[in-house]
Amino acid sequence: MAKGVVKKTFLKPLGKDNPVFVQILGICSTLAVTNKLENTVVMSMGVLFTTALSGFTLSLIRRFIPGRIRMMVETMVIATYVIIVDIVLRAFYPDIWQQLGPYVGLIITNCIIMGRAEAFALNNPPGLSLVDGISTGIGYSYVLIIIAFFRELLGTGQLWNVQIFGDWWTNWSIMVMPPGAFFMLAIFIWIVKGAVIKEEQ
Amino acid sequence: MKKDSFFALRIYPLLFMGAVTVICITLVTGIFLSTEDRVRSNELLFFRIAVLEAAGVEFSPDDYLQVQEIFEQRVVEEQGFYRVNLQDGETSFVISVTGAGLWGPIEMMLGFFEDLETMTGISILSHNETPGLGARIEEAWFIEQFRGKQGPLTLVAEGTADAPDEIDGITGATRTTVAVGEIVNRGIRQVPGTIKEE
Repeated sequence: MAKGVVKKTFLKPLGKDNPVFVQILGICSTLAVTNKLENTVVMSMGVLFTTALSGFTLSLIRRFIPGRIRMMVETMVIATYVIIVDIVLRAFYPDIWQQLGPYVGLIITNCIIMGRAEAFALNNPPGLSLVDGISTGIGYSYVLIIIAFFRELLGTGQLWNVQIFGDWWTNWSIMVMPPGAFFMLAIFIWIVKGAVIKEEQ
Repeated sequence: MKKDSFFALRIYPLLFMGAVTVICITLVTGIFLSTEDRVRSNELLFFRIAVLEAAGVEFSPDDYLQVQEIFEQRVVEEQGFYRVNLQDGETSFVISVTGAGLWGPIEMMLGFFEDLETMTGISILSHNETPGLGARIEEAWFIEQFRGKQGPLTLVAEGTADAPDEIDGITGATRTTVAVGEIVNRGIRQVPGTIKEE
């Protein structure tokens, strides 16, 4: 395996092939969990774990999967990893598990994971699929963390439950409510597409 | 194996899916069973903390052993409520109430002094409210203000409560705080029927 391929596979989902702001995938979780940094980081970890390991596993058995039932197999493998995340959170981080509620289970329906399985893992060797899964997870995570950073800071004056702004700050309640997610995501995509990606073209 | 044989088209996919399913379910079941005890003890801990908080007992919620010790020494489970012996010889009665919040059910514990009117406190066992807005009902200042209050309670704007039946609402989370107020008031009405001294 050429070294250049690994590097390229790793870098693509971070920048010009980013799942969130280029492919516009995984938007529902981006909107739902980004109102608190702590929840966002846990959710990102869950997605990273699932994309990496489901890509690896599916790539490992890709030659044996019958073409017509491949999506059932993909869903089964993805669901298994997501339920593992759910059980581990529930056992070891019950506070966060309570706050995230149904969102952890909904990682199963995150289109990024299924998309990477279909588009990458089924056609590439396990090692490369693992790299792709990890970098897709990172590409998803950093976008969410940036959005959550601004939403929590502007919406509550806090970050990770630590008060940042003093009494002079009036909370922008709309930032932690669902509409705030649309605003932040749109502004983020606007800035990234306008400033960064345009230059490359 | 021919690519278009009956086996390859009909039987193999079934066998393959069956095998994948069995492996995945075995894995998940194994992990579930191995963490079950921990999950149960977490739930028990949350429940005990909620009862003690509602009763107004002072303790540190992070100390698992202390919570267990205090709970076993002080709390007696009765028919439909909990009797908690406080430090100064008084008794607090704790009941559990559940009601609709903005997004989902809110499960709470309410504690009362022996007159069954004055509250020793409340605690929130579970909720699905918006982080940063409705979820602020978990914050200490909101929870603690119920201590010593007598129902039925009225919600007022944040920072203006001064009468014994007034509760500060949370700005930006009106519907959640109204829901909490209703659940608490319903609990207050239930108390005389639920808690009967022998």
